[in-house]
Amino acid sequence: MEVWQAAAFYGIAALLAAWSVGLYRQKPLYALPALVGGAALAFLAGILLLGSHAASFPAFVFYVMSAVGTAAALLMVTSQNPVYAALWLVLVILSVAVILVLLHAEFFAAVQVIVYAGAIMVLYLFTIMMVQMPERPARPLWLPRHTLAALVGIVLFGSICAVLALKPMPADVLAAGAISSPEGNTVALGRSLFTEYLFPFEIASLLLLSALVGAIVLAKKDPGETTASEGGE
Amino acid sequence: MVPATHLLVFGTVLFTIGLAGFLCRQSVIVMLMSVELMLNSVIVNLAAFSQINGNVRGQVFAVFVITVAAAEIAVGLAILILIYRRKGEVNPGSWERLKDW
Repeated sequence: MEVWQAAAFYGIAALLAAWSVGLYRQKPLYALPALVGGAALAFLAGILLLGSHAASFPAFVFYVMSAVGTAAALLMVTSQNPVYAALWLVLVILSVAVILVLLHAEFFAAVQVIVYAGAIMVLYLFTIMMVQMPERPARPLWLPRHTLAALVGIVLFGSICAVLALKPMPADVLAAGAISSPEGNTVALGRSLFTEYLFPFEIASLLLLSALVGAIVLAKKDPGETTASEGGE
Repeated sequence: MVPATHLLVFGTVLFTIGLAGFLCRQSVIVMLMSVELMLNSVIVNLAAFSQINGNVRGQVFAVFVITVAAAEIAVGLAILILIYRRKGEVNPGSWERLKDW
């Protein structure tokens, strides 16, 4: 039951996001009342669907942030301009970071903001700036490929939800078996990483080193090489 | 009170949107961003399972996920820049032949 409840909630969030952005693309002025109305509708839907689940403050924050994350993910996938897509992805990452804080993964929430929203997204934006996208020719917005992708997504989502519905889960994840370590989350994570998972950690560092060397070797310009963007023209 | 199922469904929603985005977008950069979205959904689920089981193992694996994401993105964007330099465009439809480079 809970699965379909949650699925309906995120579906409504995604629909409202699509609706207000559709209005924004037609006429930017309409976006503000649409956003206010959408937020009110989402609030109503949340009360109707979630009822007492969202009663406490952390639960309320979780539902708001997951709705924001769902909407931003949908907007990232649908925005035509890659710079806007990158900014929507930053919003997804930040809402995930808030949810990580709620899940008592404070250190990882900080890593999420610094490494993901900071370093990786800057890399993306640099690449977008370096690679000039050619003006896209006008093409139909909805292609057969998109129907196929939506079908694959819906089938995958339905099957995962069906599997989740089969298995009994704790009723309150924010409190369930809270990670109890007196010295805090960071120390517990570090201890586990450097004792129990030392070997995988070393392999991960090797992976990062080889990715570093590989990226430099790939992106380095050969001295005598003529390029399509410079010499070819 | 948040049932664990709601959290896992949130992870599934993010993963599904990322998958659909990867399948239907034309721009390579947005395709790579969709992969990041899928990895983020995995991070949410790992943190949730860490919380359900009451230990930090899920978070340790989330650290490995973010390591792999960083490595993937460094190499992927380097390849993208290389292709742009050789061909002058980054449309994946024009990558039918990679062999002669």
